[in-house]
Amino acid sequence: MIVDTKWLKGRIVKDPEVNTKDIEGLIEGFLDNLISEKTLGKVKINSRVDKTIKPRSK
Amino acid sequence: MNEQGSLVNKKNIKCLVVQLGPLSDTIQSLMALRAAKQLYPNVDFSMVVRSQHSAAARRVDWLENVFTLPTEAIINQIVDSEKTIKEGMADLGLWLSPVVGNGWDFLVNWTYSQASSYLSSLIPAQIKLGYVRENKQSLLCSDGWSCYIHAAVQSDIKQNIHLTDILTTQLLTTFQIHLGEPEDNGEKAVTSKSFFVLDSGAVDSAWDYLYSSKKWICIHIRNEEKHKNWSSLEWSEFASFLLRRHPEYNIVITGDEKEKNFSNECYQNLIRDLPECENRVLSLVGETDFDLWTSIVGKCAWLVSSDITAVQLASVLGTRILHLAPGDVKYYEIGPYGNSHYVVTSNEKIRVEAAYAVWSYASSEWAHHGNKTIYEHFQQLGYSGLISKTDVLRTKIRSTQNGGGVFYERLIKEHYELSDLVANVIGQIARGWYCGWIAPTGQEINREFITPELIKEIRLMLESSLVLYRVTLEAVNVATELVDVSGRLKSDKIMSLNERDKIQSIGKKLIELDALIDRLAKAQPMLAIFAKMSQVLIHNLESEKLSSAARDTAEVYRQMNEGVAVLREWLEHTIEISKPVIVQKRPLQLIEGQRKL
Repeated sequence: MIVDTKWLKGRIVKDPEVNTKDIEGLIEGFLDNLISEKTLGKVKINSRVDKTIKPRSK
Repeated sequence: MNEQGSLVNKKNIKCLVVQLGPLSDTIQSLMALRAAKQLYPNVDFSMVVRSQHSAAARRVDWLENVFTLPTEAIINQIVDSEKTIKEGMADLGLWLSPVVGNGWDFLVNWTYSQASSYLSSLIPAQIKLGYVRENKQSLLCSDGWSCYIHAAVQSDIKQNIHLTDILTTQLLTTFQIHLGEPEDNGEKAVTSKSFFVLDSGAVDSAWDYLYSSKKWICIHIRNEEKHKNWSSLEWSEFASFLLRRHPEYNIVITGDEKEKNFSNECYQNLIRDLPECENRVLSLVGETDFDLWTSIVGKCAWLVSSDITAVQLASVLGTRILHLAPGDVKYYEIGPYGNSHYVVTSNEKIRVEAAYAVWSYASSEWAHHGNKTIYEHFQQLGYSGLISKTDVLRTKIRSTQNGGGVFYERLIKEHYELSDLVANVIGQIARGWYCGWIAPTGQEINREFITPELIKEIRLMLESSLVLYRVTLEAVNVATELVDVSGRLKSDKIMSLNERDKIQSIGKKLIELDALIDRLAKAQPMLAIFAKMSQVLIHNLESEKLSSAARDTAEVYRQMNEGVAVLREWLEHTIEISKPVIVQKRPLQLIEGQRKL
């Protein structure tokens, strides 16, 4: 009954190296969210995550 | 890259696990990793953890590297305006550098948080699992199990696969595809008293002496969410039950420094009631580091606690657990892991007498061998009136032939609800989707628990699920039609007006069907899993061309349709087994030389 083995393989990253122009944005996003976790409280693996799936606004 | 079995012949496979959650999540992740390490000993595992929660990871000798992220230090400096955001970013970049340059084959983000998704995108790796960021930093789930966690585990949906099992299965299935079959069949136990390599100098010699001469119960206190947890009086009453009725046991109380006042109250209450027991109670609240706490819990016969971290620690060390899980604690996802642990839960506050009754039933299993029911035990103690307010579950590890993993066997049938049945089925559907395990229909459904009221609810659910089945089937057909139409296009960007109108009309139909699935889920919340899964799966499609996006969309709806079909099969089976069964009379037996009736 397995529908599609691609979901079992994990995301295969064709070009593992991170694009340098993305690095700063990703680090900023990481830090932003770490600060939010601290101010909003601990985020556990089984807690709710923001279900609104949208690109991070700049 | 040859995708199937791509890394089979590679030596020194390197796998990095990102776990930025609290200590309980780190311990849970270590349990899953241990299982993977046993089956794939040639994989080198490393972890990224927060400094303040790194104790457990640093005490494990089969991890190659433990990278500790000094989150508190970096964030506090920014929050206190000692550093700017830019300076904080520079600190993070500096910390990242040794992590990034390792040539990881696998990166597994088990934190499942927004923050960690950025980190997992910053670290290059060939294969990624968990949350990542891609394409203008939108959140993406790398794999099916991550979609399931996003849609089911991190929402209101009740499902019954323990998180440790999800993480283990996710990793092992991925390894099986990319690295080939494991070296052994995976029957070895993961939990062990020697799971952690402790600093022997740090372990208190006084405890070691005390431990060796007596049998101990560890009560780990955590005083959060006061309305659900016990008061100091209730804890001391529970301890008093144990001490008065079980002279063979002593009690050690543990907890964080911030629980010191609360535990002092418990201790004072207890000693006031039972002054003769003062030498049988040891309070070490606020006096244990990770090593001593682990040594204590590992050497105790029992842990009694509502604290998830304590429960995870005791699980990993193989200490028996009485987990007090009042209210909406998702014990089936984060509760005790192993055999013969007990969970006591209730919609109200758990009664002390009920908790004691469950513990005494569990601790005397060697005597009654399961021949005495928990009802009889409560009756013997004079607590029958508490049964209606107390739910009791016992953990059991399934054999590999039965699918493996832990399940929680309900001991009190009065509390069995439709949500429990559906949670069981959702777990089985997910296993069918993402690890190819098809459970026999009705596995772990107890006929005795099925009541006429439950049957009524099941019949209603069958009606709404039939509508959902038809809607998802229609969605498959419509998406397939889109595949045909878009497949004929020379280009996604250039097409005739007729083709454009046709595609728009099919797209509009799909949106309407999606909205209908959402409405069905609102009307029958037990069906919400299908609405959420389809939303998450479609968001995470990777296809670039319209025809492949359409094909992938059709596959998503086909997956949902098959899931609904499985659900209906289980619901129909439950109705079937609830019907009265004709009892066959035994035929007359003639024994030689005698006639017996």
